[in-house]
Order: sequence, then structure tokens, then C-alpha cells
Amino acid sequence: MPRLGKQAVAYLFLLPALIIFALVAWYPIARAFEMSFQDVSLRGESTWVGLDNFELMQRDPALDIVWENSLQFASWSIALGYLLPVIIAILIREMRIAKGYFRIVYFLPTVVPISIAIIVWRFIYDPDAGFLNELLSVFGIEAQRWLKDPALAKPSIVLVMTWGAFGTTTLIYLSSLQEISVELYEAAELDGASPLMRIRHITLPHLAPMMSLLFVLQVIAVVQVFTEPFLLTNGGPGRATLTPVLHIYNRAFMRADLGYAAAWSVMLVVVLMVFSSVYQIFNRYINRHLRA
Amino acid sequence: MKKKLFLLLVATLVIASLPVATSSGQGTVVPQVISLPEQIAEGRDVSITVSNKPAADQPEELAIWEGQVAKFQAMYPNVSIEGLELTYDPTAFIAMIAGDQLPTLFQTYFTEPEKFIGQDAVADLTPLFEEAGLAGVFNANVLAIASQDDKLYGIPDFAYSLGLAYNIDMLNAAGFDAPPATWDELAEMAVALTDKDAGVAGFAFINDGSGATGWHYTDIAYGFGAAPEDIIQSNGDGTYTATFGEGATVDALQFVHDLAWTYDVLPGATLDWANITEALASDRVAMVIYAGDQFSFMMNQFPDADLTKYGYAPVPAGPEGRVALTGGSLWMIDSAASDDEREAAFYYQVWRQLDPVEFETSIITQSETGRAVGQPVLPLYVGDYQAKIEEFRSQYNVLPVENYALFNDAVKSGELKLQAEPPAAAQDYYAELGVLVSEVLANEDVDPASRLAEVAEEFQAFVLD
Repeated sequence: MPRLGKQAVAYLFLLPALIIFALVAWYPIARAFEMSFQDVSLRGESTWVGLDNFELMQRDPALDIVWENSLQFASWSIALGYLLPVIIAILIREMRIAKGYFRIVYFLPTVVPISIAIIVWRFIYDPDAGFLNELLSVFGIEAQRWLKDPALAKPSIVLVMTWGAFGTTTLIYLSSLQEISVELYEAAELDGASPLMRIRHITLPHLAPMMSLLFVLQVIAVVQVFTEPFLLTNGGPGRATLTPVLHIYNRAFMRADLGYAAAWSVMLVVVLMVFSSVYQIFNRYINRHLRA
Repeated sequence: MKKKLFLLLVATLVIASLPVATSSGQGTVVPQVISLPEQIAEGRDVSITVSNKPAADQPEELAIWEGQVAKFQAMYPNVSIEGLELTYDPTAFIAMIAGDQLPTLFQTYFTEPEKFIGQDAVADLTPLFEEAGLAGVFNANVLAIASQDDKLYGIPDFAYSLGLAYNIDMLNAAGFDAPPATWDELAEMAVALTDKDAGVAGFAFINDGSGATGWHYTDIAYGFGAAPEDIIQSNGDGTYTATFGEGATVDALQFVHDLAWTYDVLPGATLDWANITEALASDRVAMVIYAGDQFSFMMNQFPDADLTKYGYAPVPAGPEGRVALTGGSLWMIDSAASDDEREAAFYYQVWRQLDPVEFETSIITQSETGRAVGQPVLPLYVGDYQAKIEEFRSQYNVLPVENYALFNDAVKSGELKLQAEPPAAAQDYYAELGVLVSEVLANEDVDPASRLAEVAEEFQAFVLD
């Protein structure tokens, strides 16, 4: 009885958070799931349409392109941005002077509001009078249509995403690096280990679990990217930078087709869940294999 | 405090300066066309909210707004009007429908009624139009945009057609004394006007890949001889066929492709509705597809722009002559509003829009405060009422209307043919074509004919079937 009493008090403390979560997170999730099987009328009666929204998805001209884009965005983002924070964190960790200065400098882009940053990036990428093309012209390279060239639009956007996000990731790696005992490095140094050997045998094994987690989080974040393509390219040129969330936004808010947009949201959740599960299983297998 | 006193003073002056016979229209040039009821809601208390209230940093507009509210509330003491500093935004309004937060009376664009009606979010105003005797006052083509299944859902407050705005100085400097008469001539002139090194494009239209891009493309397609049924055709049994995969629509897309890749006269920058004006005002583009009301936007947003530099002409001629798409704005009433609220909102809107004294006062004040009077737009009404408001307004023009003579004359003479939107799923079609045009502008290798045929097929399966 006293234990139950104690738990009741604990739940009472949790109650405000539970109510807020229920209202702003769980209820909308459940409602979106429900809406994905409906023809939604915001004022009138919504009608149940079974799997119609999911069947319609098969005829959506954007379907294949959107997922191909996600895959390419994720690949570009891993290529351009996955190792960068690890390298910078290690470099900062190895620094003897001005460590604090560099920690702040690399974190700065993160504190710039994204909409402001996008305005600046638009100037940088402007095909007529942009900074980047001006810079290229100094080296005699001809002007590029960064955001309007289907081949360049994705990496250009990924660059903006990486610029905005790598500061936070670097801090996470740095904090993880703080956990490594200094004695370990000193012992390695005494044993004659070069900096590269120290990184290979002490730093990277220590960072591995964090890197594995951040890999999943990065892929999930990139597949859900919205702000950068929305503000920089509106999904174009053509559909070259259209992402699932931008497509959902367009269907829901520009075309008021909420049932169909909800079906897309459900699909996005399922795809990400499958990816995360497969990755987890794969990761566990690798770990077991390594230990063995 | 000073500001409040100033507003109060202006409001009092506005009310005091109005003629006594407001509802009969005596002493005014513009005739009275509405029959206002003795009482609204049979005298029961009724409160409504109204969008587009000017913000405090626009003291003159705000004073006019508050003066009108005070006057209407004095005529109908049981009506209370609360203004909301809220202008139409598609995303916000969808959330407002879902949250039952729509203003009782709100302004939106001609492209939006389909969406609101489809969501049961707006009230049927047909009985109110009949009661006020107004159906015959409005231009029937304009009212059709606010209608569905013979029901009227909105009160149009202005209409325009797309045309061609051009920088007179730039045309003169290149040796042209008139805007292009045909689309071919437009391309040739654009080549002469383009100076890539100086960042100047000869011609531009909205190219951001949104529905607005599809809408401008459709204006070009109409110019190339396409009719609405050459885009989406009604089969007469409630089904529709996407017909835009061949014919004049292909010619128009090929023209867009050539402008980008053969003539190379289009700007590299992404231009949406707002920054196409910026490009025009900053001499970065010589000719643009433009709506007449955008001169008002230019005047407000770029106070340093010299508006006498810009001319406005009807769209160039194609095989069917000069044909253009229309646009505009209208006021709609929340379907959640009670009958009393609907009545109050409806009469408030038609009174402030059509009442002769209100109309004349508004024009005089706009003119005195340097607002954009004289925009090259379309007649919203018909008959004597339209003639009289034009006659009255012409005395107060602020904009250089002589520069818009080509457009205004083409409208009056009927030379400019106004074409309706495709008969179904027009917004989906614009969105889809916006994407395709953006693809054509980005990639020289895109073949307009085969891609348009593919997109038409996809559109049929995804939207129309």
C-alpha cells in the first residue's frame, strides 16, 4: 500500500507532462493514422475510404522520385557530413591551444536561425551575381546554376544542411571524447604511439557506439528534411529536391488533401521504422561478430 | 496617445464629412445598387470578425478602416465588428478551418474557392445576393469564379488579367518604341534586351516551380491558342480527360524551352510572385508577365521605384489573337457563422465595397494619400455602375495610366480575350505544370512534347481518374 501511494504521487508529478504529450504528440499521431484511411473533410463528415489513399499513392508521379531523392540526400549527407564532425572533434581534442575558440567557431552556424542562414545561402548560390560564382570566376571556372541544375541542387542543399548541423554533432563527439581518460593517451604516448595510432586504437573505438547512433539519427533527420528544400528550391528544379515531408506539406496545406498527406506520413514512419530496425539488427550482428 | 488621438480625429472627420443620404447615394456620381436592410439580424446582437485590418504602422489605412466600422456600427447598433490583422495565407487558413478559427469574413484569391468549398468551410451566399439585389451588378464571368453548382460562395472585390509589364526606358534604349505584338516578336525583342554580363534578362515569368509557374505557363499556352478544353476536357458525365499532352500546350512549352535554351533570355534567379516585382523595379528584367494589381505592390514595397518607367500591355497575340488568364480576390464567409453573423458580414462587405459614398470616399482618400489608384485591372461590374465608377475614379488616378493605355484599350475594345481556367482540378494542374516548367528550365535535354504527354498521362491517373 505505501508503495502504491508512492507511485501514485510519482504519477501525479508525471501527469502534466503526460497530458501535454497526449495532446500534442500521441493524439495527433493516432489521428494522422486514422486520417490516412479517410477522405478528410475539415468541417463536414470525413468518410472512410479504406486503403484508397495508399492505392492512390501508387499512381502518384512523385512517389518514386521522392524516395530516390531521399536515398540520394542521405548518401550525399553521409558523404559530406558524417565524418566531418568526427574529424573536427578529434582535431579540437588534440589541440593544445585555442581549444575553446574553435569549439565556439564550429558551433556558431548552429545558433544562426535557419531562415536567416537560408537568405545568406541564397546570395551565395545566386546564379547571376552569387558569391560562389564570383569566387569560381576568379579561378576561371564558369558560373554554375547551383540550385537550378538538377545535378547540383542536392549536394548544394546538403552542404547547407551540413553547415547548419555539424556544430551540434561535433559537440556531442567532443563530450564523448572527454570521457576518455587522459592516462590512456599518456600511456600510449609512452609506448611510442603516434597521434594517428592513438586515434586508431583509442579514440575511434571509444567513439564507435556514438557514431553508430548518430548515423541512424542523421539518416532519419535527412529523410525528414523540409526547411532547406522548402526555402531554397521548393522541391525543384522539377522534382529534383522534393522530399517526403515537403510533398506531405504540399498535399496537406497547399492542396488541402489531408487524408492523402496522412497516408504519406504513415508510410514515412513505416519506412523509417524498417530502416532503424534493419540497422539495429545489422549493428548487433556486427558487434557480436567483432567480439567473437 | 498621440496616435490614438490622430486616429480618432481622422475617423471623426471621415464620418463627419460623409453626406447624410448614405443609403440613397444622393450627391454622388456613382449610383446606389444595393438595397440595405432596415435591420440586420432583426436587431439581435451579433458580433463578427473581419480579416485584413490594416496594422498600426499604416495609420491612414487604419483610420479609414476604423471609420468604416464605426459608421456601419452606427447604422446597425446591434452589430459589433472586430478587425483582425490577418491576411490570407494558404497554410495558416487550412489550420484555421481545422481549428474552427476562420474569421467570419475573410479575403482570399480567385484560385482558392474550390479548396474552401471542398472543405465545407464557406457559407452559401446565394440567398443574401438575391435579397440585396446584387447578382446583376457583378460581371457574370467574375461571379462564376466564386460559384459552384449554381451557388454563390464569395463576393469578388477585384479582378485582373495577366498582361505584359515592361521597362519603357530599356525598350527605348534597345530601339523599340512599343511592346511586342506577337510571341515571336517577344522572343526577338528579349534577345536584344538581354545583357547577361550586366545581369539583365530580356523576359521573365514566375519560375519558382510552384502553382504560380504553372499558372503563368498556362497564360502562355492560351496565348499559343490553347483553350481550357485543350487542357482538361469535361466528358459530360462528371469525368474529365487530361488533354494537355498535345497541341498548343506543347507549342507553348517548346517556346518556354527555346526562351531558356535557344534564345537564352530568361533570368537565372528564382522569381516568385513577390520578387518578380523586385527584378522589374531594379532593372534586372525588361519584360515580365504581370498582373495589373502588382503595380500597387511595387508602389508599396519599392517606394523609390519610378512607376512612370513602366508600361503595361495586353499579352502578345498568338493564333487566336490576344488571350489571357484572369485572377483576382474575393471575400468569403465562414460556414460556421450563424445566419445572423452571415447577414452582418455580407452586408458589411457589400456596403463598404459598393455603397457610393464609401466607394467615393475610399478613392479620394487613397488618391490623397498617394495609394495606387488607376491600376490596369478588369471591370468587376457591368452596365451603368461600372461606367460611373470608372468615370469617378479617372479623376483621382495616381498611377501613370497613360502607360497602361495599350492594355486598357484592348480590354475595352474586346481585343483581349479573357479565358477561364481549366474546368476541373485547375490548381492540381497548375502545380503539376509548375514542376514540369521548372524541369524544362533546368534541363536542356528535356523534350517538351514527350514529357508533356507523359505528365498528362500521369495527371489523368493520379488526379482525374
